[in-house]
Amino acid sequence: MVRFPRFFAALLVASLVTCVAAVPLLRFDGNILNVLSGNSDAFINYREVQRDFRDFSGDLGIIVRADDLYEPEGFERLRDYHLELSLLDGVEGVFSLFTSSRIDPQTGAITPAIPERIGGGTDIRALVKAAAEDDPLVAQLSRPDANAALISIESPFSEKNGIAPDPEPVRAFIDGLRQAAPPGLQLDFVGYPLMRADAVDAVVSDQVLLTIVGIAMVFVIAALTFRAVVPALLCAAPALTAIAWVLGSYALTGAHINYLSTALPTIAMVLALADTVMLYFAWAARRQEGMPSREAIIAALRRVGPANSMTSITTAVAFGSFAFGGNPALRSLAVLGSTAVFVAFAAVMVVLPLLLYYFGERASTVTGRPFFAPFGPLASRLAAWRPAGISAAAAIAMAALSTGHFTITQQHQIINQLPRDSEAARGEKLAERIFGGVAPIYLTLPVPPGMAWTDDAAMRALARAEERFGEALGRDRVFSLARVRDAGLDGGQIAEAMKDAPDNLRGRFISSDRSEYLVTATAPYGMDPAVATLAAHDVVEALEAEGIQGAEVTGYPILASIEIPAIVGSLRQSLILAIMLGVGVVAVASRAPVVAAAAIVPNLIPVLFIESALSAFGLPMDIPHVIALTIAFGISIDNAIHVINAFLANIEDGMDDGAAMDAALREVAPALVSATLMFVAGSAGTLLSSLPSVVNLGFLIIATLMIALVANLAFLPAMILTLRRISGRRT
Amino acid sequence: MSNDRRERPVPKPILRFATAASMAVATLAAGATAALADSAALLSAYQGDWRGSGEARPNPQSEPMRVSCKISAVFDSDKVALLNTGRCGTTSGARNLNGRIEARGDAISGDFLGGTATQDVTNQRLRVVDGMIVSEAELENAGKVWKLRTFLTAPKDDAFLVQSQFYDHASKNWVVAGEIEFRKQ
Repeated sequence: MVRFPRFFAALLVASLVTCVAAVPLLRFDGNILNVLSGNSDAFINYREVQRDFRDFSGDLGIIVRADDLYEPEGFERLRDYHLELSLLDGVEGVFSLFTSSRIDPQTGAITPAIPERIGGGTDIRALVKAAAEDDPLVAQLSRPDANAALISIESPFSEKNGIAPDPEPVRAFIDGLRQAAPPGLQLDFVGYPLMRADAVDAVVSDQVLLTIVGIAMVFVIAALTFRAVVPALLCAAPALTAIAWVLGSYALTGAHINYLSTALPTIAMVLALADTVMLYFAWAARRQEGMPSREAIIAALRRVGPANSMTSITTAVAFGSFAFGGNPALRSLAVLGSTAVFVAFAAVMVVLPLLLYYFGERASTVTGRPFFAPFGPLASRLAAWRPAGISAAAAIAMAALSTGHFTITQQHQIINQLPRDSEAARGEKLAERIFGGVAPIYLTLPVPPGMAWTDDAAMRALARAEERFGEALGRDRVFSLARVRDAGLDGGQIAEAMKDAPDNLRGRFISSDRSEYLVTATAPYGMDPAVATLAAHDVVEALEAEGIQGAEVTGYPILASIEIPAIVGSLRQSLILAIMLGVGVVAVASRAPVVAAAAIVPNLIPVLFIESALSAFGLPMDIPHVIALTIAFGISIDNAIHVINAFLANIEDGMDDGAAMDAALREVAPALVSATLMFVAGSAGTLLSSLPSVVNLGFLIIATLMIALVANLAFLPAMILTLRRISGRRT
Repeated sequence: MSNDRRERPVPKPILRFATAASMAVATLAAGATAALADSAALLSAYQGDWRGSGEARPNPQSEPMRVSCKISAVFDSDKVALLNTGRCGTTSGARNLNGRIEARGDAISGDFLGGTATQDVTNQRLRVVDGMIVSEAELENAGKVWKLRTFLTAPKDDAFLVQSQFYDHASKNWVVAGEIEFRKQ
């Protein structure tokens, strides 16, 4: 850098131009299901239902409400709306309480469950309630007491059609659905395509918000830290370069930003700022000692470079640990996160030396007393006071807080991945409140061996499966071909009906090769795990006990309720691994395993504290929570690295343990307080996110970092001094 | 006159036959052309975007259900054909339609609603009667063969009517199976 400044400057400008020009190419992904994709049985079964029965990924629910919905006029408006929807471009199927009908086996007459003509003075509520007693579709899609009805449509935004639910076409489609409605009907929408569209909108707006707030914070913090314009600008430049490089590299490589990775550019920016400040202070100190600017740059790089590279490695290791989460979304987060960390490191190591080379002379004298200087002596006094007692207290605190690690529950809340006040979130809450949820759950049952699917015995097995499924989820939420049979058709008539039925209707009941039946139920997306487990395992076991073999249960609520805890559990193991690896990296790099081991307790305490707090408040651990803890650990261990780095350098300079720790804390504590506040301020934008999961992520990162700062300044020095005394390495 | 008569060569028998034949053909052709022109005028009148609503029975044994349709009709003057695309739906389901009615001479053939309303029909014949397109066919349902006929009125005041009837052997009467009124969009 210092040898070939023009070459690197040209390279820097070219890369910045390329990256900034590529930003409009950024891709955003609202697929909130992709964390569930993997190789588990439930997920494979989920995909098999999509392939063998029908692709339900484009299903949308319309919640229709009106005060007079179950009065004659309102009811006919609802029927008119159904008819209008059936003619709308892009609508591939419409199901409402009017859809169901009964066929007279003797005459072949088709009688709708809800009569086509309703006489004046008819009590429609009573009529619908009576129809619902015999007809599961009417029961599922009507709520007379809530003046509400649900219309289920098949939109074109399905995986089978290959039409991605991007925000613009989904909004246009929903506008079309609204315009088709007769006046007086209040409409709300729920379903996966809308969730994805809203999630993409939120990720895009978040990215803009986080970037703007992050950049503003970088300037404010740099200005407050240095209380001078030139150093503030010099230190802001690497952070801004980092965000440009991260966003540009994502755009150029075609990586998708999703709700898990949306905060990465901000994290890279703040990481770069913190490292830049450390490097700048080192350079300024040497300049104050009278060293020429160019030599001061090289000396500062030699002093801080190893620590910065080590902190980057440990943070990257923390991100890399997500790869053990076992699914593509988390592996992608691992790659994108690690890349962002190294990009931030490179930005610091390239941009600040270059700027100091060209503009350092103007800034060399502008260094005030660090704002947080009093924290150094304070931390030093505490460490020297009673190191053994403080270490014991830290160990006891860690042990006490460990209970949270074992008592906390795990649950995935899809509502947290949806923007607050979004149409999708409102629809989902409404669907859960009025209809008990509209997310489909499927039970697949193979046609018993040696039987045809229309055989009475096979149908009886299906009816039993439906009954068992209904017992677990509610009788009015379950339907299958067995109900069609109950409606009056014999096997031959059902076979004839299925032969003529379009795939999207046939696929609701029987697989394309007629080898498996489908029983469909509905539930909330955030289904209670206990009920999900009951449905998935107990129903299958009960059927097996009755000799009905091969049933499997799947669907988003099942995947979320069963698979997510497994993924969270796996991520928590990854976090422990990241902690061990982080400490291991410090041990190897510093060649001081005892000192590195001292970092375990102070850096476990923040993680365990957060787990205990969540557990105490009855909040379950979700994917964003454990990701936040891992990221926060990756950053907090940096504090320990800087303390250890300075302490060992002072030992090498011939100081004894006490003096080395005192000097180290006076040197690094103000910078650590400053860097932590930078992280906090830089991450503050996440608290303004419309995505609850991003707010949770930001809040947990901030809380963990604050606790980690206290732990690394209060406990780490005492632990180092105590362990070195115990191990006989004290100087 | 007399001069003319004298100057006109007397046709030989073979020529007389040829002349008569050619006159007959010409007369037939003129008639067919007129019929074709009428059919073309009739078919082209359906051109445009239409929305329809009414009632139809899913089968002769059932009560009528409400039905809605939308049609985009394009007239191909070269082929003298009317091509309809659209969709008809009841609350029990919906079907896309691809109808085509073609005129050849004084004969017309095809299906206005593209099988949506006349699925599983056989022996279908179309003719123009009193400015209406009338279709006659047979429908097999529940083991019985039903006679079916459909009237398609000519568009007037931006509206036309499709009415289907089936023959009830018991009452020996034609019974309305469905009626959809289309209005131009």
